[in-house]
Amino acid sequence: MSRPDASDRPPEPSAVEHPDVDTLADFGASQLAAPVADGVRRHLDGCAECRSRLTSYDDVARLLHDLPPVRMPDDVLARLEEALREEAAGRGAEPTPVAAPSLQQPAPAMTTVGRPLGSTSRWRRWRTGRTGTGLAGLAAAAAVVLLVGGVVAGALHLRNGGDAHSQTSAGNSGGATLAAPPHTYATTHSGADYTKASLAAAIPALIGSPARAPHAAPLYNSGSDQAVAGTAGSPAPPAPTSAAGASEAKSGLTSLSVMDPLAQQPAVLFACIAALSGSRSGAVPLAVDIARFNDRPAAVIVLPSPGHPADVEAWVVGPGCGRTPGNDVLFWQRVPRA
Amino acid sequence: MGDPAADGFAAPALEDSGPDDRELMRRHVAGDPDAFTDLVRRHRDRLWAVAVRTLGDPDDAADAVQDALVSAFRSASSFRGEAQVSTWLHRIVVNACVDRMRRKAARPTVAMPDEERAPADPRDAVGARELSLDVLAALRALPVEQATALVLVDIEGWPVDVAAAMLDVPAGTVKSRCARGRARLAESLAHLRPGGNPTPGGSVLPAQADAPAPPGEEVGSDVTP
Repeated sequence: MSRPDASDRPPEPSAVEHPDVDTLADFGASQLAAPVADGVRRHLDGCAECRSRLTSYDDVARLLHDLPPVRMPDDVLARLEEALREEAAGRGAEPTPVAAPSLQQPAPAMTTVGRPLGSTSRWRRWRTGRTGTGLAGLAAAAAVVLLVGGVVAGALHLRNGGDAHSQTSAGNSGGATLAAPPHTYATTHSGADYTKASLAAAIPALIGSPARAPHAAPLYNSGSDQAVAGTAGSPAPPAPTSAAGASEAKSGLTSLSVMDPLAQQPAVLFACIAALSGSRSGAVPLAVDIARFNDRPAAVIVLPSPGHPADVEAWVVGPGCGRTPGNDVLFWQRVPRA
Repeated sequence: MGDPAADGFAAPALEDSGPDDRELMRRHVAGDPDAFTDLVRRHRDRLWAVAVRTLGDPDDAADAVQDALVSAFRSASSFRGEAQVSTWLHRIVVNACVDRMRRKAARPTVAMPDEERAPADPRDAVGARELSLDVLAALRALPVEQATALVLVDIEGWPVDVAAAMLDVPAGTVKSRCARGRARLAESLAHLRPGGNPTPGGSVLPAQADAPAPPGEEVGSDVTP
């Protein structure tokens, strides 16, 4: 970034060029490979200026260390304790996903959403500021194509041995095999590569929030060419291509196979959700998307946010969720429903 | 020289918080409604410091800490003691802060309220206070990975290996992030300081220009406590 102008000084035989700030910093932290470090060392031998730069880096460490300590303000602590009390009071109680209006509708089986219109301002912020990831984020948002509408009765006990296909069947039959399912959730295999920046914008579409583009075209094709565009407002007919689409989409995303247990075995999914929600009975997910996060295979699990009816919680987990310490949680974020 | 902890700066004592933290976690998971709050009270200032130093804005920091700790409350049953409880809590808070930093970076910022609630250090002369503000402002101009590493290691004094566990990256990565962050701070502060040397080189800290700094020695010897 601020490489000194080499023309300021006569070239030295042993020193080709001033090292840039990162190289010099890494040298100072002994993080350079030996040959590179040797070159920097030779340069420093003949360059007082860079030796001085290096010294100034240590001054910064002292300056930072000497910053005055801070204490959590009382009002912040009070608010925090209140939130934890609320959380403790809700613990063990049945989760109340009824707060989600979209849950009243059985199985929004096929939905394609171009972008979350319900969060325009957030969307605009995110698009304008994130030029680097704007396209990827757009793709992620548009990738919310519900290929599989999984309908789960009682939410926690799917038939054992239920795999992706039996789930798919249930979804495609609009839950006909299940008497009055109290809760539904949609499982998507978007394969989208979410990032922390793009996730929030994609959530309203994932949960089938009422605010959405009426005729959005699928903008994301990779791995989901079979995506069927639909409108969320109208009850989507069972799509005959759905089961095939799901498996084709999955085969196009072979590296997501590590997510198969979570995607295909409800017991694994709900063990994960139970661990995440900190309750033995677990919560009913609003949506599940088998996707990627920072290019790692991941499942996005959207849960209600107790105490925040206008929000949902997006949990991004790896294949170890429910089975490993820490639940393989890659990311967590509370985001507005729309 | 590179790691403050290696320089003998006081690092937070981990031992004090070991068994008791775990016991509180066990009680929390077993259903004790107060155990987690007790745990949070114990670590509140450190967690707060990480959040407010990283984010700058106390309101943002409060939101980040609350989101993080509510999340920790719920996922506590998955904590199996492979790390210190405090490390685990820090990791969750840091992640929440990083998330917020990225979202803040995604929108144009106006002036950031700067730690209005932070009590002024009695030792602070006006000049030093201003320097602190400069440093904190410059800190938040860094890439967020470097800023969080510096907050944990240089400001909060966590040992590099503990910070590495909090950030879920290798210790060498933490060292590199700290070193690069310090370097960028040094070179940007050199411009900010009136009378400071605008070109690279020269100490950014006139008051500490005579601080012992062995010239020519390879700094940042890899001592990790």
